[in-house]
Amino acid sequence: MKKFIKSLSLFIASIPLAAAKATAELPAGQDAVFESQLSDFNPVQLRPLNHGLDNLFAGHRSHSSHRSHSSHASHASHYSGSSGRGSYSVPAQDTTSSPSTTSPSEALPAAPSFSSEQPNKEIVSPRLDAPKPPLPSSQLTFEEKRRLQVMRVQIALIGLGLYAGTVDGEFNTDTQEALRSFQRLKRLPSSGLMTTDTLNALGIMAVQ
Amino acid sequence: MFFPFYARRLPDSHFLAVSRSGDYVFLGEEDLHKLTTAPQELELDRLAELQSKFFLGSPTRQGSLRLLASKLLAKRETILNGPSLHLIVLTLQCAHTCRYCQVSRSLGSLGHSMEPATLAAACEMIFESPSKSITVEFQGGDTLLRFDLIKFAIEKITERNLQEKRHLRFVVSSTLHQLDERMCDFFKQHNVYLSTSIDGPARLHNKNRPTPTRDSYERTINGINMARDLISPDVVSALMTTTRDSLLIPEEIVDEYVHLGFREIFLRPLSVYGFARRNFEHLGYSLSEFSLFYERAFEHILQINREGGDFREVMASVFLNKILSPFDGGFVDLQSPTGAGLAALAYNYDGFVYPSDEARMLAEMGDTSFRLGAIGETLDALLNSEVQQNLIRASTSPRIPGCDQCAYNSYCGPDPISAKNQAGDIFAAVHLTDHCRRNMWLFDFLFMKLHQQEKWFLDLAFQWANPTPEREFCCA
Amino acid sequence: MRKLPVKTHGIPLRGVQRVISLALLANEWESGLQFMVLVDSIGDAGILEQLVDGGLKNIVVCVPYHLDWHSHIMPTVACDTRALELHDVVVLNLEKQELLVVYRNSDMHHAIQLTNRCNSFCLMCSQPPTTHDDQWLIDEALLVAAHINDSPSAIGLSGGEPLLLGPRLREVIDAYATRLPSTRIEILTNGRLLADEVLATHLLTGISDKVSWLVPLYGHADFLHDFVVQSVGAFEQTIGGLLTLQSYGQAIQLRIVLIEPTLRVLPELCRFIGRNLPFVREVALMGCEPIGFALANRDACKTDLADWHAELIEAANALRRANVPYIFMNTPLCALPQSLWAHAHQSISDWKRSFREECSICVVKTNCSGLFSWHNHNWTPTVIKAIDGKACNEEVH
Repeated sequence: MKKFIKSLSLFIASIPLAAAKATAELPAGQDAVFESQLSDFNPVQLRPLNHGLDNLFAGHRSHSSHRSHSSHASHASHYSGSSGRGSYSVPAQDTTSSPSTTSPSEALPAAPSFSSEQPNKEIVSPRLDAPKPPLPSSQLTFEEKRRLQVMRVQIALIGLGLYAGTVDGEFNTDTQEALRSFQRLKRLPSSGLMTTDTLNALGIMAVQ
Repeated sequence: MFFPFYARRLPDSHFLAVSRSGDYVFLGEEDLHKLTTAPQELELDRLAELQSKFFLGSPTRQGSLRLLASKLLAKRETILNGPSLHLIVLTLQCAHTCRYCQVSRSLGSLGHSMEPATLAAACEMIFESPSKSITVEFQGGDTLLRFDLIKFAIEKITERNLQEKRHLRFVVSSTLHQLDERMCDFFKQHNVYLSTSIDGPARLHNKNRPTPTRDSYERTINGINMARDLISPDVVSALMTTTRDSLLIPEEIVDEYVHLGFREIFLRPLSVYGFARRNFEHLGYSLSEFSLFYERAFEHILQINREGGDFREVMASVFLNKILSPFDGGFVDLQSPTGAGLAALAYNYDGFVYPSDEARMLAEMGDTSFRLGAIGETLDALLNSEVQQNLIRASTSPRIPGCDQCAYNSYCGPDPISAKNQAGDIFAAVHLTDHCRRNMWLFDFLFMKLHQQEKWFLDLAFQWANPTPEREFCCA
Repeated sequence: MRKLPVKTHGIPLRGVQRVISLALLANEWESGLQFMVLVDSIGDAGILEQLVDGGLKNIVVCVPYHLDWHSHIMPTVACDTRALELHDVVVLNLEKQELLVVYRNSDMHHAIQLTNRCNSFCLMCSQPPTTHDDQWLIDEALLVAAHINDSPSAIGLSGGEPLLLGPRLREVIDAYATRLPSTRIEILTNGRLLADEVLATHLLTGISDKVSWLVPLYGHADFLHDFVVQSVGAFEQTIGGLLTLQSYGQAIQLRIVLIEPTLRVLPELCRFIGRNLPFVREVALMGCEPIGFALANRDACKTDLADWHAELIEAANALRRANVPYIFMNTPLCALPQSLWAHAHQSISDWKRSFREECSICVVKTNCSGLFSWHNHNWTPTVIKAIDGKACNEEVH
């Protein structure tokens, strides 16, 4: 197992000197060199972004007090540099419209982020096969949805002791007969069909 | 290896060094020497600090270099995003005969207002700027004398913006003497801010700004009250100009602003344009006189804040923004290259476009050398004009003798237009200009304050430095 | 993670299961999922046997020990069923005869582990990394996503280092974003591999806007950070990764674990964040968990936060001045100066939070994070003491 280097100075001493060598090629402190170095980099906008996630950590602000502040920003344009009058301040780009100053009342009581604690403290032997997770039911075809619907009804009917066949998704006569029995018990029209009222009575939501 | 940086011995004899990222450090002579000769001999904490402030770096530190490039971009945001401040000088007519005024003409004078067709062309031209935020500021003269032109322009621009969807803001600069309910309704409807002038207590204000009825102060106050009542409490901001008569009463001037319900004051030195130039011996003063005035006013403002008030000084805020914030507050006069033209344009009543308010004032005095072109030409043509290119050449601080070795060159930049006014040449020796001497003094002053590390002052300084609305958090 | 001893019968393989009741089974049953049905009567168990007989292959019955139930055809788990809740997602470990609850709706915090491997070697790592291939954890995480039956407000994807999954991390993120449409997905990562543009483009282009990134930063200069994570070059990669995340408009929480090497530089580190990373949504200042490598690096990791109040306050000031929000996590209130209490969060998961005897009379206990249950008397974030009402009021007023 890797060993820790327990002191900062020892750690620094252990750092390979490759970095130091590379610097030797460049004269220090020179503007031109400096500028050309930086031109290779793709700079990033450092301002906080407003992309509709303003409530992301809203819970953390829940007990914060809103500090209303001098309207300096909104008045920034009123100032003149040195002339008789006039404005010499360009508005900061796109920040005045920032919705990021959510007031406490708007802040949602979101759950706080979780801590550094790790889950699965002990992970044990892997499973040999890795079954693929199913598609969400919203992505099923109409036929597949109907089949799933029938299987759920069959499961419910077995649970009620009204059906003793297989759970196969076939809307066969046994299933329909069991549905009719159920409908009679619940005083619903005994159509043998999966009507909304029947599904509600079975505690099954229609597959969407 | 060390990155470019410049050091400066402050008047209190401490050394300050500022890196290209605008990060600063106070350090002793010994550390300063080690930094450039043997950084590995620096104490680890100092080494870490200097590295994190971009005094030291290495081509192998890719993350840090990309960060540095991003920081430099953030600092240049104001001049890279296209002109966002658009001044429209509607008229030179004015009822005042101010002692320091640059330009204004009497009420009866004809031919000193913008033609509607020209104004319409200016309104279209504004949208050639790629900037996502646009401030349109109406200037005079006294603008409300031509409310008809203001209304025409605001309606035109608002309509075009339905498609453009820029973040739009209007400011009307005025004495507010002519303000009436109809105008207030219109301003409220179009989200217009008002900017006016208050030089201080009534006797000073009226002395500086005479009208035939000798009631300039009272009428401006009436205008402010009406605007606050009918539009919104925050709609008016005010500017002051420091004259010789101001120098002895800094506290009184500040108190006047507090009393009038303003939350900030901009302690502006007189600029020597226009009539002010002729009246200099009556109005003018030296930098050391101004600095005494400023320091007294500043201390007074600090005291107000210490006592729980919320009141800021704008010039200090602009400078502290440069020093303390990663985001540029957008102050046009403190850019390199200059914000004149790149960040701001002035559309003058005479049909020409100038790079700044001062430039159009020089034109009024007969120096039309800063004309970028006529209203109606393309923005591209204006920004590529020889005039604009020369302005850029004269204001790119790392390449300007005097700026190139200056510790403050990450925060500041030459002002070629005031150099022309003062010395007759946009390439005049920078360190001799008023602009430079005043800025050096104020940077020194603020850095000495920062160096004292008083917690309470640091809190205030960061608050003032922040150009963005504060994100929310509770007070620790 | 909750663990439960079990006795299994007739279950061939380790697998992910959704805990369910017989009454809910019909409504939730899908062919691709595994269901562990809680029953407490022979009669109900019999109905399940009938379902298996009728062709259902994806159900197992879970019975309390006292129920005298045996079946030849019915896969069965016997355990203390009172420890389970409906819609728990569990993993059965057959070798150890253990059941792990990997997801529980009623928990405040949810986390899914994607790998045990890591490219850093942090002094205080609460879960020392391993080196063997554990790709099967990815498959399991995908299955867990499918077995979760609601959309919690937030779920964490953690490791190890999730970026070591490479492009497959996106597969996992997409699975959770699709399955749990109203859930914030928080990825606990050191961000280093995001400095790789090819991987970053693959992972971040068109990613769900529900994703946020929880990234640790332990120093303002490379050698400080690299020392804590014991990996040369990590700082530069993490900074690069943070910039990449920002360029894709991603939400970031920076995390600083409060141990001696970070506390020592905390004010300067927070000033660095304010000047250079002002785009982060938040900085989390986190108490160290006395577990894992922290135990091996006691000198660096065991600190009494009471000794560092000046640094904590200065760091908080620096973040406040830069408008960067911050929170304290895993820090009992008695370990913090009172001026920072408003920023302290009850961050320790329900099942591992504990209190001391002293805490019973504490007036702010209800707002306190408490301690990790594996904090022992030799190692707490500070000397735990009750806050009495008088002291509390004095400081508030």
